[in-house]
Amino acid sequence: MQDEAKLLTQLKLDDSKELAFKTLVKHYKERLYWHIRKIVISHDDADDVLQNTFIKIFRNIDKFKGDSKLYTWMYRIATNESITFLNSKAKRNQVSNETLNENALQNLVADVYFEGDEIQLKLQKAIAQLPRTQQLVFNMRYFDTIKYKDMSEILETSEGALKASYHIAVKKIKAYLNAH
Amino acid sequence: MTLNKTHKNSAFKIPKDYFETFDVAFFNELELKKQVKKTGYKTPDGYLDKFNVSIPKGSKGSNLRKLNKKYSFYISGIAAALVLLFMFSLPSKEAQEISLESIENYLINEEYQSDVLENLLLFEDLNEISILELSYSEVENYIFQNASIETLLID
Repeated sequence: MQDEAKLLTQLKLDDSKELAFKTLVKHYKERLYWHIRKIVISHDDADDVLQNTFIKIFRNIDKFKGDSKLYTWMYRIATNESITFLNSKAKRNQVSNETLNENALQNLVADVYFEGDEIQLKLQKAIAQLPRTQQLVFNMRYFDTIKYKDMSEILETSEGALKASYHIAVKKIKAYLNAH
Repeated sequence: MTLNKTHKNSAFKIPKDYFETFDVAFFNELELKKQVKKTGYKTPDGYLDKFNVSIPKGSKGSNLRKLNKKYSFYISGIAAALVLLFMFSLPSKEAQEISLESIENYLINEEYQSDVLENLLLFEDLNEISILELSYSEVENYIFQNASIETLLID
């Protein structure tokens, strides 16, 4: 997105904040949606989290110091909102996160907003077997092709650790697909 | 000049076992992408085109609950005491769950001024704070971001 600095200035001024925010939403809603969707799986949940994410961005934009890219800051908010959402949902339903995830995947077969074939369904199940951070790393690298440098800002983890995590994730997923 | 002599003379370094692991990782990913590239997820028709954010009224600024300084001290103190209690009261290597009764007994035994705690419940300003709606993680985050433990320890 061009002229991020200008947009940021407009976002911090009362007069231009709302219009600038609409521009921000327009440019980033799709990327943030798919990032969130891969974490929470269900479209309805992703919609909720996307709303929450943008509300949080709107409320906290004054606090953004510019020490990272705007989009990595927003991605970090989206990631945290997604995880918080899942943790709350698990707690409300009195189940573990793993059980919640398993249920979501079982529902995927009948989900009208999933058009994946057998291998894509297996891939989602394979991803669900990974530890949470590895899931995030895998999704961000494999599907979104996010650079490790940016991922490092989003997840606040070193690039080396992320690379290692990704390669381990790929190895595990391959093994899962071969075994099932 | 052969390849071996070239890299011995350069000042560049590589991570340990880089070349040994490179092709394994590279071909693993390549083979996986041959099998599957997309997630399979889709959205309702026109969802992203129509997507709009409804900002709740009155949300001009930060949604961080601004705790009144006077009460934040008491609340932070109680929360810090609970954190410290948890940190230092574990009698064995295995973590034990602290019951509500234990926490209550601790507060009583440490002679926390009950009128201070009562006052926290009486002041009208607390309606704005909605203590009961604050989760433990929200209070904890507030403490770690806004105060140092030293200033919270009550003599």
